[in-house]
Amino acid sequence: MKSERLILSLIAIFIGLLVAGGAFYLFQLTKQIPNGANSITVKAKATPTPSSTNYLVIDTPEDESLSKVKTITIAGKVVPKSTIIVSNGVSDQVIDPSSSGTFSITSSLDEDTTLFYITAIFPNGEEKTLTRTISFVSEDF
Amino acid sequence: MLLLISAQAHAASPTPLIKDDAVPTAESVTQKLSDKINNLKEKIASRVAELNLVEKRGFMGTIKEIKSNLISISDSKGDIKLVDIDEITKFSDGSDDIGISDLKVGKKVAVVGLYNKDSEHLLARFISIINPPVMTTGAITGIDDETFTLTLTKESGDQVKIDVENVTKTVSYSGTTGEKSGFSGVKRGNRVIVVGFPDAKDANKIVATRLLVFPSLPKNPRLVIPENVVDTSNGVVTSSGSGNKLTPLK
Repeated sequence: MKSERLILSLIAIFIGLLVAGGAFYLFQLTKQIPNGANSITVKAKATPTPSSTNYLVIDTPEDESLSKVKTITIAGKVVPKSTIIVSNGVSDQVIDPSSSGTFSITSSLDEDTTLFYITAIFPNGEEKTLTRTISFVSEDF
Repeated sequence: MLLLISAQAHAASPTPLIKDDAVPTAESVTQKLSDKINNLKEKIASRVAELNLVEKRGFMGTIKEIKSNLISISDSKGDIKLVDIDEITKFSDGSDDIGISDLKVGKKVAVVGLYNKDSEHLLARFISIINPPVMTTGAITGIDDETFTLTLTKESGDQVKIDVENVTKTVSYSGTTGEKSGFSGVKRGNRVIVVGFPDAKDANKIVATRLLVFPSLPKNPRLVIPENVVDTSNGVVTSSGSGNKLTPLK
């Protein structure tokens, strides 16, 4: 008697699985797969492109800033293998940036306001000049 | 009876009243301190806001207009700056103190003061009349060794005359190493940076104080060197192409 029950239970489970599988199969047939959906598309990540291949960025000093000391450091980043020329009212300095393009140069300030011309001559021969106006002020106001 | 009178007398006699506000309690002291702290906080917040709104700045430029206590100045980038002056603004010409009446349209000045980000005005604390040098870059497209004048062509195509004087310091660079040079060391097509002062008579001429020559650096592809340019550096006059020999203007 027990074995009969067991067999009937197994048959019932088997029939149930068949019905469930058939229902799932019919459900899948009703789905419409759009064309091309079975192909995997890898979208390239959008990366910001520089506005120009040649760039010169001055990190310090900030333009029109004041200094209480007569020596300042001009630092920034440029296309590697460029040539940097820093000119002010009395002197010029020519330097090469590091292999990564960073540069740093120390210069002195005039009594009042000093206008620095920072020129980069890029490897392809093009150039860019930025200016920084720095004022030396010894007294508070 | 006497006892009664005595009792009334006692009852009528004024007894000293203790008012609540006469003796400070712990709560009232705390409240007062709290009020003071709040007032102080408000003042500090107001001052911080003011400080964030105003910052110290300095720039140089050319006076475009003077109106009572307001000066318009065009800076090195061509932007117009509005500068307010007051009774404590100091004026100088680099060595001596001057007055506001010494400021004229067209004069170059350096201004230091308090810039208000809201009004975009700078309240000047120091104004100095200056004579800053100018810097220009380009390629040498003409050499006149009789008048010691160079023609420099800029990237924009504009040409500038460069007056090379005895005081002009000419340095030729190979990499970052500079070597003292002279007028004869400058060749047509050389890439140069010129620092000097505008000629008082000729606005298109710069009297050079420093001439940096970069013969080893690549030529600027954006700069077109015109042909048929007078070059007397080798005593040879370039042909005009028409068969007529050009002679330098003196």
